[in-house]
Amino acid sequence: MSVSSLGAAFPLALAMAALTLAEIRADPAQDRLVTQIEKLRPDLAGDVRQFKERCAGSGALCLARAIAAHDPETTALVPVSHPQTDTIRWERSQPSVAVSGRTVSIYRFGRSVVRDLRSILDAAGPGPIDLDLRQNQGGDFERMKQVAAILLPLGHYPMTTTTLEGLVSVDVVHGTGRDLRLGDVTIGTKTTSAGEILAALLAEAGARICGDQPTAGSLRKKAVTIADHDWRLVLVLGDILVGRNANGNGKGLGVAPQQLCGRTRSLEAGSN
Amino acid sequence: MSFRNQAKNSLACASLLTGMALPAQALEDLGHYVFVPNRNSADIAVIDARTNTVATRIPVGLVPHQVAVSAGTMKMIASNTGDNTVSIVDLRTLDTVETLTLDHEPEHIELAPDGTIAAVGNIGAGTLSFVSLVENRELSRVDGLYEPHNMTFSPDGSLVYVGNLGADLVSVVDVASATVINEIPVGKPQTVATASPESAEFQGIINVTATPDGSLGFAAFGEGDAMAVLDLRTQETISTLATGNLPWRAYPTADGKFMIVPNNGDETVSIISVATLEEVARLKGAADMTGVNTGWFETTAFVISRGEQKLVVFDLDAMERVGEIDLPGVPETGVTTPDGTMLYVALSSSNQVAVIDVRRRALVTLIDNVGNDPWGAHMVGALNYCH
Repeated sequence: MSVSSLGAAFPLALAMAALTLAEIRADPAQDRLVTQIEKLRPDLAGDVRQFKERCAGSGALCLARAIAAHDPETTALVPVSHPQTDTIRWERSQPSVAVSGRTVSIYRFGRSVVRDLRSILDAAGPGPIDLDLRQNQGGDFERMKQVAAILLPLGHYPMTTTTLEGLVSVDVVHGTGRDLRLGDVTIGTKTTSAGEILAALLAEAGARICGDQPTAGSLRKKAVTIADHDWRLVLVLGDILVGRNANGNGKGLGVAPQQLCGRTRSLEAGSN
Repeated sequence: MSFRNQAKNSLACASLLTGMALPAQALEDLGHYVFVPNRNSADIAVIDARTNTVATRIPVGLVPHQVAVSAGTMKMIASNTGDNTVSIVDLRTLDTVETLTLDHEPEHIELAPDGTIAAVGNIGAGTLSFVSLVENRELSRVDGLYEPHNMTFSPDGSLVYVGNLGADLVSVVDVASATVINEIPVGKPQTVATASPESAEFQGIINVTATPDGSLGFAAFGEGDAMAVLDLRTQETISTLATGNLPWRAYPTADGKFMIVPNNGDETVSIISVATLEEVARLKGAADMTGVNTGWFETTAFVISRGEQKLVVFDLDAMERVGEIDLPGVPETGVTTPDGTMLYVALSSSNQVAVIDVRRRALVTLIDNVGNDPWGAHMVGALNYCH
C-alpha cells in the first residue's frame, strides 16, 4: 500500500502522525534533552522515549519532570536562581581560595579557583603548604581535576567511575610535578563530593590526611542538563573510586583521616 | 566595501544604515558621534568625536545596558535592565517616543540588517523580544532560551543565533514565527560532584561571532577551553578549536582574517586564523578581559583589561604583545572609529571616556563628566560589541 492510499484509508491517522512529527520537529529542546539522556544514561533510554511521547507538545520540562519522578534515586530536577546579572558576575568573581599563614583553604571550585590557587602558591614561596578542605562541599568536576593537577606530584592519578549498570570509566589527573611540598590536608564532615575526591587524590599521593571525622561520603559524579531556563535535570553518572580504595575512600565511605595533626590539634585545643 | 562597513548591521550592537539623507536635526551627522550608556545616571551620552566633547545626554530608563541606533528609522533604542523596559528615542528630535515594558532584565540588543527590528534578550527571563522600530512596539516574544546573552542575525535577517549564558547551547530563532527552531550543542554538559548542583558556577556561550559572509560562526564555550566553529548554513559544529582556559568570546578583525579570543582563566589571548581555522598565536593578556578592539588597517589590537585597568596592545603583523596603556579608571568596553584611527573606551569608575590614538598606540585625551557609570561606547558603522 502506498502512502497516498494509506492516507485515503486512514486520513485521521495520517493527519495525527503528521501532527506528531510536526510537534516533535517544533520542540528542539525536548529532542536535545532526549539525545543527552540517552547518551549519558543509556539505562533510561526506553523510559525517555516513552515519556517523550507522553510529553509531545509540552516541552522539555515536562520530560524532565517525568524522568525525575520516575527515578528519584538517580535523577533530580533542581531550580536555578537568576539574580541580577551584575550579582551573578559579582558572585562569579568571588575567590574560591583563601590563605592564612601557610594554610590554604579551598572553599569551592568556582571559575577563578585555578588562577587563585596558582597565584597564592606563587606568592607563598618555598616550604610546606597545609590545605584546609573542611568547608569544601564540591562543585565542578573538571575544575576539581585542574586543582588536583596543580597540587599533585608528577604522575598519573586515576579515578574510576562505576555506572549504575556496572560499567567502568576512568578519569586521569596528570600531576604537574610542581615544586610544592604539601603538608597536612585537613578534612571534616562537611568535606563533600569533589572536595573529598580531591582529598582522596592527595592521600593517594602520600599527603597526610588530618581531622577527627571522615568526609561526607558523597562520591557521585553527576551531569547537569538543561530542562528549561529555570530548571536543570541532574543525572547521576556513577560512583567514583580513587586509587585502590585508599584511606577508606569507597562507595559511601568517604575519606577517613589518618590522625589528628597540626592544625586540627590546635583548633581542637582552641575550642576547649 | 570593507568588512568593518559590511559588518555594521550583522555584528554591531549599535548600528546605523548608510545612504540615508538626514533631515535637519539635533545631531547633524550621526557618523561623528559616540553613544555611551550611563548605567547610574540613566541616560545616553552623545560624544562629538570631532571635538571629543559631550554634545548631549538623552534620558532613558534605569540602568541602561546597551544602545543601538537605526538610521533607517532614525531611532535609537536603549535597554534598561533596572526597570525591564526599552526606550525608543527619535533622533530627529531627541525625544523618547515610546517606553516599552519587556520581560525580566532586557540587556543585549541586536538590530536586524534592515534596521527596522531590534532583538532584545531578556536575560533574567530566558526570553527574547522582537521590537519594531517602525511601529514602536513589541512584535513578539520568544521563550525557550537560557539566559540569552548576545545575538547575531543571519545576513538575510530571517534567523537569530543566540548565545545562551546559562547553557552549552546556541539557540536558532526563526524571526517570522518567533520560535526556537534548533539548538546547536557547543561543548558538553557540565559534570559536577556536589550535593547542590544548582550552586555550581557555569558559563555557557557569550556570543556567536559570524564571519563577514555569515557562513561561519565562532562560539567559545566558557567551560571547555575550546571554541566551536559553526556552519551557520547547516547549523552544525564543523570544528572545535583549543583555546586557553575559560575563553570569553571571539572578536573579529575588521578584515575578517582573525578571531581574537580572551581567555580569562589563564589570562592569555588566542588568535585564530579564519582561513585555516587554527590558533596562530597565544599571547599574554591580563586579568578580567572584557573586550578587544582593532584598527589602523588591522595592524593593531587592544585588549581591554578590567581587572588591571589597562589596555594590552598586540601587533597583528608580528603577532606580538608590544605594550600596555594604563587607564585612570575601570575600562568596560570600547569602540574603534570606522576609519580605524581612534578608539573610545568607557571608564566606569571615573565617569570618563578614554580616547586612544590607534596608530600611535597612545592615550591622547580623557573626556570627563560623561555621566555616571559609563558602560560601553558605540558608533555608527563600527564593529560594536557589548560585555
